[in-house]
Amino acid sequence: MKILILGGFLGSGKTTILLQLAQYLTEASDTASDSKIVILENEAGQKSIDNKLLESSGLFVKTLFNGCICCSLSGEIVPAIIKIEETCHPEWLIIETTGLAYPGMIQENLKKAIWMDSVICTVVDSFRWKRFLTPMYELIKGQVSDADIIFLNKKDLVESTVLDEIKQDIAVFQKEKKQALCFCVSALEPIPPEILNTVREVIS
Amino acid sequence: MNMRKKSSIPKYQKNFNDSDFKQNSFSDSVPFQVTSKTETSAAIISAECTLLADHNQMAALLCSHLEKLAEQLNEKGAFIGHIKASMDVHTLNVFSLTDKTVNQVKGKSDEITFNLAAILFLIEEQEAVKLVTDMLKEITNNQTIEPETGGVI
Repeated sequence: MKILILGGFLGSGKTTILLQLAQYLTEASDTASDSKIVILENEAGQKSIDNKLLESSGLFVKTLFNGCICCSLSGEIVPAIIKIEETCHPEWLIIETTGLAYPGMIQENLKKAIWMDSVICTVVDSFRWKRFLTPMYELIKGQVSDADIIFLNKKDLVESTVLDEIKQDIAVFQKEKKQALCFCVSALEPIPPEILNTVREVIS
Repeated sequence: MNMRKKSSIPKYQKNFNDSDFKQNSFSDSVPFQVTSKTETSAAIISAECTLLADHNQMAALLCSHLEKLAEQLNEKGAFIGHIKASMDVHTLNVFSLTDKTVNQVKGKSDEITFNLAAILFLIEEQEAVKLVTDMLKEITNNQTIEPETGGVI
């Protein structure tokens, strides 16, 4: 089971990108399993909105409510993943985090608890980056610094110079720790298949 | 015809594992519940409301009220992480046949359940709860919605 942790700040477009990525992975999958992809959705609140959207697209979704799986629900994610693997045998597990989560902590938890490797994909809100970089500095830095893949979403709403500045900020956050693959996208449009295929290869 | 509240909704729905969520108290007449908590300096608000109305009109009403809520939050200097809502619509159609032809009767109103999830910064939790509550009160109490007339299709 290949695991992708999909993180990024609130409203960055995680679910929108997830829908496209899940569809691509499903079509590209050659596994005989009935559940090629399982989505593990984490909601900070008591109500989940995104899981309904995902389920209406035919995806199999499990949801963890009332907290964040990088901290308050860190003890629940491990049994949830074990159960998913045992009951569904999916080729792909995509964990969509809350917008408040640190994906690196989830990755570390999975590695230490059940020796499972994972890939982190962080979605960045290019439109609001400058606005919340200062007030949410530590969170944004934490979400970006551990990413293997970064989608700079909402490219259609900003100038290319802004995207370049964001890439520079990301490079500072990552330093020598990681060199994430960065893709500028607009999730409201079809993401180029070559980008999705690159993501697929990285996860594999 | 006014929007009708669904009288069978429990006043308070018990949620499991929600000891850290506050149940906000309202009078018996309101058909919604709002829960809230603060985590990592964010006010996390959840709400659920069920009522009978025309879903097209309700969708438009919800949109306008959410935008008004955003405006109010911005005026208070709050930062919107996100505000999401979903609407589940159940439309009743009854089919009956006694001879050769089917008669179809559509329910007068749709049963609509909408859920809301908001994560907000730079605002006190209870202040955010009040704004959401006021919005839901306006939607459920102060609006006259004329659902499509039920009858034979």
